[in-house]
Amino acid sequence: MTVNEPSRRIARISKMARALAAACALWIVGVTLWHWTHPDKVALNARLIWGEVFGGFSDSQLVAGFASNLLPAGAGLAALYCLWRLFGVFLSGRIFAAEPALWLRRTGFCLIGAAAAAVLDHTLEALILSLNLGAGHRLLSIGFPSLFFFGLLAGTIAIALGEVFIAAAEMAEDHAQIV
Amino acid sequence: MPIIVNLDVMLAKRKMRSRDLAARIGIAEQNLSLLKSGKVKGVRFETLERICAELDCQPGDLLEYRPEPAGE
Repeated sequence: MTVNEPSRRIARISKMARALAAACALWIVGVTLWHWTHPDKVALNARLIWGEVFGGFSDSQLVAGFASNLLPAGAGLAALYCLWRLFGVFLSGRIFAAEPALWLRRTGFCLIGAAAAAVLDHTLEALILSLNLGAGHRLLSIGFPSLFFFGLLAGTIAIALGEVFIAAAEMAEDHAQIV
Repeated sequence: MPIIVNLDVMLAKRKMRSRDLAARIGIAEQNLSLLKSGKVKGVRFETLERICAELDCQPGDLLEYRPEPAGE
């Protein structure tokens, strides 16, 4: 293994991670748009989640549902942007520095934000999609989708790793001042 | 800092230039300059050993503890 092998490996992984983050962002935007422009899929999905017979949505319901869905999607996109920036810093060769630690912590906060937004979206969507149903059939559902637990766990880990990176950056700075 | 680096004194005694010492012990001239001015957080034993070997001196000839006056 040559001296530059680890940095080359980090650069390779960083490029892959950035490509994946970009692909994931496109996927989120694409799937969200596709989902809300297909009312039959919205109804099917709602039936799977809440077990109620949904359908006959008005345009305003679909727009409101889409807007509600933008909350976790937006937070997810923000997390992906932070990951993009994080691996951009790694790609430039700065590993144990304050900047990647900052982007890692921001990623964590965005993921936790996405988790919280997913819970809110779950409640809002149920309410929005059941608005056209008769009295007694409208849904007020508070649920914890799988994204909530994933976001919470991944976000907490990212924030913790960010703190570790801050400590590592301080150590690296100290080390650089030893001749 | 109460630790004084007397490397410049030793260099003068041995009539050696910083550049030459840096080249002989294998560290950057800039780092040696920082060491001379005491603007470093630490010195590796390895660096100290090489400097002592080149200048034919003891670590005590290079480093000196001078307590700061009380109240400062």
